[in-house]
Amino acid sequence: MAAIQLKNLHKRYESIDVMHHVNVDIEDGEFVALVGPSGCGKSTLLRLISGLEDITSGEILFDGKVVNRLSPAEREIAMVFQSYALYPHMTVKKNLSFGLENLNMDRAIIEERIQKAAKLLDLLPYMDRKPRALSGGQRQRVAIGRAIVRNPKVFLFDEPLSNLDAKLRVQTRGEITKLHKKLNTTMIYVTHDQVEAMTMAEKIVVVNAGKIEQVGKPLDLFERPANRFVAEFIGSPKMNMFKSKITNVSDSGIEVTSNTIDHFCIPVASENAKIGDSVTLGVRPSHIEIAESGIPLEITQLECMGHETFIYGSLKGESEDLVAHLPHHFEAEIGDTIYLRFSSQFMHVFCDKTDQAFKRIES
Amino acid sequence: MKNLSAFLFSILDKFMRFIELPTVYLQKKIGVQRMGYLFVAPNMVLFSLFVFLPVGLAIAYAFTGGTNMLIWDRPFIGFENFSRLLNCGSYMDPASCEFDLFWTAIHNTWWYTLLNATGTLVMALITAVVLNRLTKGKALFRSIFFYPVLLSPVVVGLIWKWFLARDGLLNSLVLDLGGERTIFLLEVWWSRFWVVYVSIWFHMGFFTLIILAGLQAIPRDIYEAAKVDGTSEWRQFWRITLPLLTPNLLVVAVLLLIRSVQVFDEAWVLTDGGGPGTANTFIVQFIYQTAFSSEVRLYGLASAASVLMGLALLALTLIQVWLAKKAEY
Ligand SMILES: Nc1ncnc2c1ncn2[C@@H]1O[C@H](COP(=O)(O)OP(=O)(O)OP(=O)(O)O)[C@@H](O)[C@H]1O
Ligand SMILES: [Mg+2]
Repeated sequence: MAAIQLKNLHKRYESIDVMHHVNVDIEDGEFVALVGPSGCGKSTLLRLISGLEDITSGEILFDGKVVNRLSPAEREIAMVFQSYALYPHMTVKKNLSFGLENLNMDRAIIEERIQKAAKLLDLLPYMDRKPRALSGGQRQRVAIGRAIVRNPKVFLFDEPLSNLDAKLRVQTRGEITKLHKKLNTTMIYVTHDQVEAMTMAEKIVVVNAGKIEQVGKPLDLFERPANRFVAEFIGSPKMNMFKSKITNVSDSGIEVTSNTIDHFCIPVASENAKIGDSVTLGVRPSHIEIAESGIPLEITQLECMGHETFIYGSLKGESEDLVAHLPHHFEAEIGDTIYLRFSSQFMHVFCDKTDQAFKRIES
Repeated sequence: MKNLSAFLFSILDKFMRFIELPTVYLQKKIGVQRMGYLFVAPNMVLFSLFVFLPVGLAIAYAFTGGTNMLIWDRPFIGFENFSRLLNCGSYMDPASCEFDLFWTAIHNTWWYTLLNATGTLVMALITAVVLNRLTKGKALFRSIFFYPVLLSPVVVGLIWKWFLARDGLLNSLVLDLGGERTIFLLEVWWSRFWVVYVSIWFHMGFFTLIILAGLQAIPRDIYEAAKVDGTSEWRQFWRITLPLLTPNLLVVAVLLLIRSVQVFDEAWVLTDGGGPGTANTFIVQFIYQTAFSSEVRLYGLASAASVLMGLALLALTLIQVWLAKKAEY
């Protein structure tokens, strides 16, 4: 078990910088998810932590000790690869024991450890099979087993579920979470799937183009995104965005006006706001209510799931379509006009110059 | 450019229209499934003419005697050629055999094969592993090692003959360093050593390339997993690289065995016809001499010897197929 600190971490491949002075603190025993779009540097960050890749500058600390120059084995990490990277010529049992044999560990202890891991992961019936005779889900469990038997200080997962089908993915998601509860070891988990991150992690690190956009608890990121990128990346369907202008600034918030809303006051910290600045308003689909009167929306598409409804439509004067999510069944036809209400305490305001969010005033 | 391609295309189009009718007719006549045989037929004809027919003839000649060239002038003698070839007091002692040169050649070939195959395999493996680890200059070194493969065997034989000659480069080097002049190609053990050495030098590049391809086919993340597992470089080589390379190495080993058994041209040139004495006379040379360069041309005996050699190669190939099946993971 280990607490991990990344200090001013920088990585450059030849002439391209792929990690830009990253700072992250990970507590002992924490389950951290690294999320971000494809190519943003999640795998790179994970490989830097693992020691498979050398860092260009900065420091990595495990429990306060700099490990920059230590090999992956010396860092006592275990890694589960996206491709599983099992040894194809070894049986499941051999795959599990190989790392322990490298340590010249006592045969009896090795046997005990792999039996324990195999039982935990339901691998006992497959111990004498080679990886090619296993299903994707079974291979994945072997890969996790290979990580577990070594009693590592940190588990690193690089998109371990991306090769599984939807059902197995949900199931394995639960199993990994359970495993974390049981082992209580620090886990760092890379995924580009924000749902996976939201449901599994205790802390989420949002990465974009080699920079950290925000670090926080899943709900924090959802409710208080620090900038436009996080606001749009976290949450599904995406947050709705509108262009607007600041028309008034007061202690209780910012007043904005756009094509659809008129002199609307939003309770956010206003010290950086100036009248006339252009800003972007954000509202989550689930924070939109249907009302008798209000903002008119012409429905262009409707998805009824029985217990919930997604409404897509266009607002007058807005270029981008709007999505609303209702937690109940809703009767309507395509082409109908309905009226919406936004509640100001759930709205987000982003400065167009910096893309940063104005801080919310907590009531 | 555009015009040209349009022009070529129109020719192709005309051609296709031209053959459409007969093709459709043929398809109806012999069935789409069997059209494939039609397409390989031209090649099969050439192949039969220059491979199957000679092989068949050689087998037929093996059962005939006399010195006549044409098969219908030759008397059928059954297995006599074989029994004479195999007529030995002791197979370990060529002097006790009716055809002592045949057995000398077998012994020479056997030793040559063992040393050449092992030597080439080990050298090619080491070279491939080293090349695979290079980060810079990989392509350059790969071509350097591959370059000899492109040379003609006769050229290779000649180059090395000059290099090793009485007044050759090597002797002048040895003399400069204060050593004694050695006439390498006239001393039994030296000449044998150089035949194997030149052969390794000549063919190594080809096998290095095959092994290199095998090495590059091993996924990088398996090595990364091994690194995370704390595997030492040495253990990684023995426990991961080598087992994953086994199918590849088997192919290489059998190719090497087959090629070694067939050794002839570069050794013939290098040693001026298998010398000194019969120290470097190999089976193919025996077959060649018996059939074409001795005073009494024993075609039947030579054919019998090549049939025996063919059987040995067949056995090697079958072993390879069997091993390759077993080595799959
Ligand atoms: N060895 C390398 N040399 C040069 N550039 C590299 C190298 N490895 C990765 N990169 C670059 O670094 C960036 C980050 O890559 P990385 O693999 O970390 O992305 P990722 O976030 O894991 O993406 P994905 O979700 O697609 O796996 C990419 O732009 C990639 O092109
Ligand atoms: Mg990745």
